[in-house]
This record gives sequence, C-alpha cells and structure tokens, in this order.
Amino acid sequence: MPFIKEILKHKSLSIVGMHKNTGKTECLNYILGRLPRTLKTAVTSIGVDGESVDQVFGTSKPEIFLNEGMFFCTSEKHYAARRLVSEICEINPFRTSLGRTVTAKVIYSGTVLLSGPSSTAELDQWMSGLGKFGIGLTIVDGALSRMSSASPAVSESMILTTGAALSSNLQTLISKTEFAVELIRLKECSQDEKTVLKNLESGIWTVDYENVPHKLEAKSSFVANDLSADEIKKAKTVYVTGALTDSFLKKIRLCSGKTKIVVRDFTRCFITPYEYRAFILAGGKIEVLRRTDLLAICVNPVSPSGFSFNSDMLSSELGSRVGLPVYDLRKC
Amino acid sequence: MAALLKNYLDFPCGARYMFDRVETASSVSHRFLAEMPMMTSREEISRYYGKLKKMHSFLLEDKGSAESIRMKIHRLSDVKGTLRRLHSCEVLDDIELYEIKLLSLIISDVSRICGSCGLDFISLPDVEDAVEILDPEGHRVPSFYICNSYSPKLKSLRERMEQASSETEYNELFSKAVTEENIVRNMLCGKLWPFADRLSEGFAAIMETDILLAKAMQIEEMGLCFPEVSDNGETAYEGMFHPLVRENMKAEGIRFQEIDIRFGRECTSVIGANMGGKTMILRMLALSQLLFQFGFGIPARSAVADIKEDVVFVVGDNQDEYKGISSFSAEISALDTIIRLSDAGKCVLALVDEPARTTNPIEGEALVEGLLLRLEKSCISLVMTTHYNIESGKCRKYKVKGLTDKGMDYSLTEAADGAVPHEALNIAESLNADRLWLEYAGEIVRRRHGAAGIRQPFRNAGPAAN
Repeated sequence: MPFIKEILKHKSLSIVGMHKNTGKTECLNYILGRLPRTLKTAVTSIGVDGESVDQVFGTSKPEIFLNEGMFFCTSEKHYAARRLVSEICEINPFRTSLGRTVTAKVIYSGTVLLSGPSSTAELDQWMSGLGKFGIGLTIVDGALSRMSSASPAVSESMILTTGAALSSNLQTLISKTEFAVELIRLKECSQDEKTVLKNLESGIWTVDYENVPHKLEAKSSFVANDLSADEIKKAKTVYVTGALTDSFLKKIRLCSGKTKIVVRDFTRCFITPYEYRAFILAGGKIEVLRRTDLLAICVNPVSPSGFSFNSDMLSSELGSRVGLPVYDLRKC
Repeated sequence: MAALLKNYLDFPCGARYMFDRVETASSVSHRFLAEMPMMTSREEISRYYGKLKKMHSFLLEDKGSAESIRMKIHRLSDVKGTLRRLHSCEVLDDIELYEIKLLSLIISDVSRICGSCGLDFISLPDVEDAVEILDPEGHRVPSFYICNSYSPKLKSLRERMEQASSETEYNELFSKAVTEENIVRNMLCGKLWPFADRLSEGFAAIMETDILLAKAMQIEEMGLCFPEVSDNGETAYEGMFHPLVRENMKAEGIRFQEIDIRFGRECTSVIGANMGGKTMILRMLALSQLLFQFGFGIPARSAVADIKEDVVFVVGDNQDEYKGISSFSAEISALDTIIRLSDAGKCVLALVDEPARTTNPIEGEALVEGLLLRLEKSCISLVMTTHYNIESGKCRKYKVKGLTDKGMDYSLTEAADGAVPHEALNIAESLNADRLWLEYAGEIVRRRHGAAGIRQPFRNAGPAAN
C-alpha cells in the first residue's frame, strides 16, 4: 500500500488534480479504502466531486465511497441525494450555491457527492471545528482548476494527480507536472521572516535588512506598474500577499535580479515556467510562508477520449524527473 | 407600528457601536435584536428592565451557570423557515428534523439550568415530548437520522443492504429503505405538528434569554447603569458619557469628562465655545434615549429618562448633491418635520445641532427664536446647540464652561440670556491659526461691537497691524 503510512503522519491531506479526469476520486477511494478503521476520518471537497457521469465527456466516473464511521461535509442538495445512511452532526455556518453545508457521520456505507466549503477560509473554519468529533485525518478533494484546495493554510500534506487528460504529449505532460511540483516544493521562508510577514494584510510589502516591513503603493501584482527600482533594491524581501504574476516577476527581475519574493503558499503563483526560470537565473528566489508536504504523485494514463500512455513508462519518466514516488493506482 | 432598532443603527450617535458590542452567544439572536421594536409604554419598559436587572444579578452571582446557558445557546441557528413549515403541517426533511431536534434540546437544557438557578423570569415551554419524538434512544445528542429504532422494517432492510451480493440487489433494497424512511418522516412530522406553537415560543424565549444575558454582560463590561422611568416628563443624567469616545480617549491616555444634564418637555439650548463638546452632548442624549427605549444599559452614573414616541436627530451637513438638496434646505425640511410631529401631538425627543447656522446671523437667529415660539405649547423635548443669543423666557439654557487656564472644561452650568460666549478667536489662537488674520478679526469685532465683543487674547498678542 504506497504512501498510506506517510499520510498517517499528517492530520490533513489534500488531493489535487492537475486536470479533470486525472484520477482524483480514484485516488481518494484508494486511500479511504486502506485507512485503518480505528482512524476517524472526515472528507470534503471544495468543488463538486463524486459524479457518476462526467459532465463534459459523458463517460462513467468512480463515485466516492464512504465507510461506516467516516464523517463528510456536503451541500444540502447533495446530502438529500446521498446513497448511504448517515447521521447529521452539524449544519455549518456557511453556504454554497447548492445550499447550506452539512457535516454528517456515515452509519451504513455507500456513495455520496461531495460539495463542501467553497473558499479556503470556510474550509479552514470547517476543519478547525472537527476537533469536537475527534477526527484524526481530514481529506480535502480538489476540483477542476481549483489548485487552491491544496493550500497549505488548510492541509499539511498533498497528493498530486496527473495523467493523459492533461496532455496527449508525454513531454508536455511531464513538463507541466514537473513545474507544478517545483512550485509545490518552494522553500519555506525562515521563522524570523514568518514572524514579520504572517500578520501583514493585503497588498505588496518590502522588508528591509532590519526586518521592518514597508507597504508599497501597488495594491496587487496585477497593477504594480510604478515599482521603484530603488525600493526593490533596498529590500531584503518582497512579500506578495495575493497572486504572483508573470508581469510582476518580470518587473522585479528588471529592477533587481537578486530579489527574494515570498508568497503565502504555492497556490498564489500564477506564473509560467519561462518567467520563473528567467527570474531564478537572474539570481532571484521565491519562497512561501507555508509549505505543504507533497507525498506522492498518482497518474491516470488513460484520457476520457480514449487515448492512453504506457503506464510504466509514464510513471518511471515522471518519477525520475521529479524525484518523487509515482503510482498508477490501478496497478497497485 | 413601532420603529425597529435597525432603523436607528445608523444615527450618528454611536448606536451601532453599542449594538455591535452586544455579544450574543448565537448570531441569530443578534439579528433578532436588530428587529426589536422600540418600547413606548411604561409597563413594557419597567418589565424589561426588571428582567435585565435580574439577569445582571444572576450574571454576577453565578458566572458558571450563565456561561453554561451561553454554551447551550451557542448552537442555535435560524429555524424560522423550518418552524413555518411545521406550522403549515408540511413534512420536514432530515436537515429540518435535525434543526427541530437541536432547538428542542436547547430549550430543554436551558430550561433545566434556569430552573436550577431560580431564573423564574425566563419562561420556556415544556418541549420534552418533542425531544423524545426525535431522540427515541434517549442519547440527548444533537445529531439526527431516521434510526432503526423507528421501524423494525427499516432495520431489516438496512441489514440486508449490508449483505447485498450485487449492485442490483443493493439498489432495490436501498429504494425500499428510502420509501420506509419517508413513511417514518411522515409519522414523526405528524407527531411534531402539535408542538409548532410551543417550539416557536421557545425559539423566541431562547433568543430573548441570549439577548438579556449579552446586555447584562455589556452593562458589566462598560460600566452602564439601569435607568429609572421618569414620572414627571423630565430626563436627567448624571455622569453621562459616550462609550466609544471614552474608549478611544482612554487609549490615548485622556480622561473623558462626564456630563450632568436635566431637561423636560420644553426647549433646552446648549451654548458654549467651539470645541466645547456641544455636539457630543447631543450625540450622548440621542444614544442614551435610544438605549433606554430598546432596553440597554445607559452610559451614565445615574439616569432618569422620559418615554418618547420617537427620536429626531438633526446633526451635521445633510446636503445631498445627488438630490440637489443644499445644507439649508435639508435642515429646514428636518425642522419642519419636528413642527409637524409637534402639531400631531407626538411626544418626541428632537436634538438639533446649531439650527440655521448656514444662513446669515440676523435671519438665522430669528428662525431659531421663531422655532422656539412655534414649539412653545408642544410636548416635544427640543435640545439644541447654538451660538445665537436666544431671548426666550421659556428656554432652559446650559453653557459649556469652556476654555479655562487648565484647558477646556466640558461641564455644563445653567446660563442666563445673553450669555453666549465670544471665545472663537481665543480658541482659534490656541489652535495656532495665523496670528495676523486673528488680529484683523479681533480689530473688526472691537470696531463693530466695542470692548464687550471680545475677551482678552488667549496668548499675549501684540497690537493690531495697521
């Protein structure tokens, strides 16, 4: 059973797909089916997960199967449509477009569609409130293009799923996955820096060599047109509280090549490999305030259109490039 | 229909600050508080403060039990919609049944604590039978599902589901179980319908308990007092303060100077130097009156308040460039409203900050004196600040003591006609305004009004420039 022991070392796990149909639900079911029965587990999704039929391709998909004793969080609409017997433990104080969300405990196992908290803050709130149920492990399922589900602010560890649905070109698939892994593994900033940065509110900040933060006029990296080269050169660190974009990275590189940028977590990086590498080559660094522990990569070599890679070749090539265990769970 | 608290929250007197700081255990109680109607009868206000006093004593004597009540109420959510459906004899789904079970448990638990603490003023209905309907196994845990003990048939179907050998068999059994669950839900709701009134009554009583406890906590935290209801039309505050301003000043290490004031169903004017806190007095009076009629503690050492039908607060510049309303027209319209209320025989508190200040002083003064004559026979309590010398025998006058050697003295003293202080130039000087400008102004005052028109300069100013 790959990576189960690693998962048990953490209190929370997120499963993030590089693309739709890369095997997130399969991975979730694999993990849920192998966790010790004595471990109280709670599951949710920040999108909608567990549909039996793909809404785009019309192909059948695995449903989320929960065992007796597991807790889950889903919307009112999907709670009413569940195919298991469960006990409502709490109605959560936040709503989704599908109604309020409910935390429930499975009495008789079965399948359910998960559509839980819709923002990182709500997810964090839900996870914090699970203590009263004695939950030992919380698993968060991501959704299409919702990389924020893996925010280290809410989960300690992560499993990334990728596969033929991302690209039918093996090298493109590997390059895209490799870059995502590189961002996930960005170094965490020092404890001293964390102390200075963690309470800074929105906007862009510079921190000088005496660890004093200064707020820049630009409210976000999207509108940072008038950056002062002097201010950037004098800064030990530039802290971006929101999204880090290509254009901002380029501006910083042109102001001063050797700047260190800190972002809250890797999900804030909306940058291309080209601009990232140019920044690093110029002597720049990007670090994160909180880092998630990437445990493994799972691959789905088959795309919904029918195209498939050789599973062994995909796993071994990707594994050698990223230096992480890569699994095709159908073969495990 | 009485005005609701939410209608007054944006009065520029600090009402929202006080409302926000009523820390109810449940957010639904806080929303309920915003919908509270203004109390306008002596009996209602006396009864409410009687309960609040008892709750305050309970809080001081038994903080542990008070906290236990708050812990129980903490889980209360807004179940108005579900109760409405129960009243209409509709069949509730599992989430709604969970809400009803949780509400019943909260009512039952709070009732038990109140009973053991002797809180006889909290009247909660008996909903034990409703609890039993939704908690057949007697666990008293706030969770719900259609459990097997409701139906042996359901139990059997679920057990067979667990043993199903194929998906088809499982699906067939699952469908039968869902049908049986619906039968149980119908049966449960049929038993719960008669409890709809009691549950609604309990829901309101729990929110009221939550609000009373939170208001009692606020009284303790802010050092507020319990008011007495006036029986002669007079309102009197001793040691009145503004909680928000006092808190802000305290943070800066400055002491807030408390105010004593008394007024009746007549006109009262407050005169005094600029920066003497006249507008702040109006804000405090508006705030205290609203707090009184919505059952809060009053920010004063002692308070006797007269019951009003409404509070009208005319303060600041109400010009609206989008509606094409100038400051003057907005003010005249507001004052006209006060006259109409007076003509309708309404007993209101009208607080007006420097009426007619935006026009020329000759007509301005006439407009203010005319207003006093117009309201002379009404039962309106008009408190206004002004820089005009109002000559009206029927107007009680207070004067802010003003600038002294030790700085500004904000306390009030009763004043005679013609006592409007001429301290604007001195105060401007204390603010380090341009010296030559003030000398020109001083010279003009001396030329037009003689030596009586101006006090001695605050600092040793030289002779006027020629």
